[in-house]
Amino acid sequence: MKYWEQLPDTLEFTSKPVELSKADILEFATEFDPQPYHLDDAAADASIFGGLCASGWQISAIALRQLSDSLANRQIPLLGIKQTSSLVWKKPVFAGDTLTCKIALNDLQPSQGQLNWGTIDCVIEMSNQHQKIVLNMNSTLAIAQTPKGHAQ
Amino acid sequence: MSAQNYIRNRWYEDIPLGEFHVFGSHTFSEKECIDFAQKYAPEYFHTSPEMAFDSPYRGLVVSEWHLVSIWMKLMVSYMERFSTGVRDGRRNGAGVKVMNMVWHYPVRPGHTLTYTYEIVEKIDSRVRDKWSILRSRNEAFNQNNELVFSFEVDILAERKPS
Repeated sequence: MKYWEQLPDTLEFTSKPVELSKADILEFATEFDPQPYHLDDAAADASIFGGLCASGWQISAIALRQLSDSLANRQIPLLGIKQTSSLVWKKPVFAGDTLTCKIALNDLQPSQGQLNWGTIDCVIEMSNQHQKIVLNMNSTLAIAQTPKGHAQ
Repeated sequence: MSAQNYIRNRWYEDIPLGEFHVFGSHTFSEKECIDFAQKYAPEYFHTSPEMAFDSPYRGLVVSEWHLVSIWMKLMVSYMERFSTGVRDGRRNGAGVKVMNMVWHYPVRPGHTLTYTYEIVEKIDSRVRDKWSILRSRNEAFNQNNELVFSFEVDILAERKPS
């Protein structure tokens, strides 16, 4: 494990790409965001988005899954998201789009409370296969510190 | 709450600053928390009750984005309930930007959250001639009335045709 104390001041990486299918879009939208522009082709064509597009909440959830996998691959123990100071959807995401996140971590801060973690700021920029940015998200993550009593 | 008070069946100009709604409640089951987390937040303290017991949370916690997704689900359900009869193409509600999203306390399976919103700002500048922006403050309280989750979001609202 690479605990909070062992992290460098800055860390940058790129996630694995994820392709989003129409079935994925419909599945999430049916459960959590059943609005016409996420479910119905004709209504979506007539909407401000100009076509059937994914819920912004699904796109951001995928970005966080890519973050989660990227940290797990590096054995960095994520303990949750403390806050998301801003989240902006720049462009709609359509079926068949492939999404990749650039992730930058910086600014290590010790935890204010009793819990055994510290924080690091996380900037995510998600792009589609045309290298157009679809989402920007700035968050603060909790990362586990070395367990107490653990040999250093 | 009458149909006239709903966001989606009114124009931007007709939605007053300060309007406050309690728009839904949800009790999180353990199964749905694990199902969501396996897709989007597969950390062990969201997916394994046994392993979560040894985590700093001392038990399973609901993932942050699950709380957000349920906010959206309840909001859409609330909007649709009060938009019966609107067939003129107005579609307020597309989100543009989220600010200051904070998870104040862990939420666990079995907890019940109640979600509220208040219109805190109206931004008159035009988006593609037809829309302006409503900013709302959104909060979720648990069954002990503790604030567990809050954020602001900007949504598009259609202006009255001139």
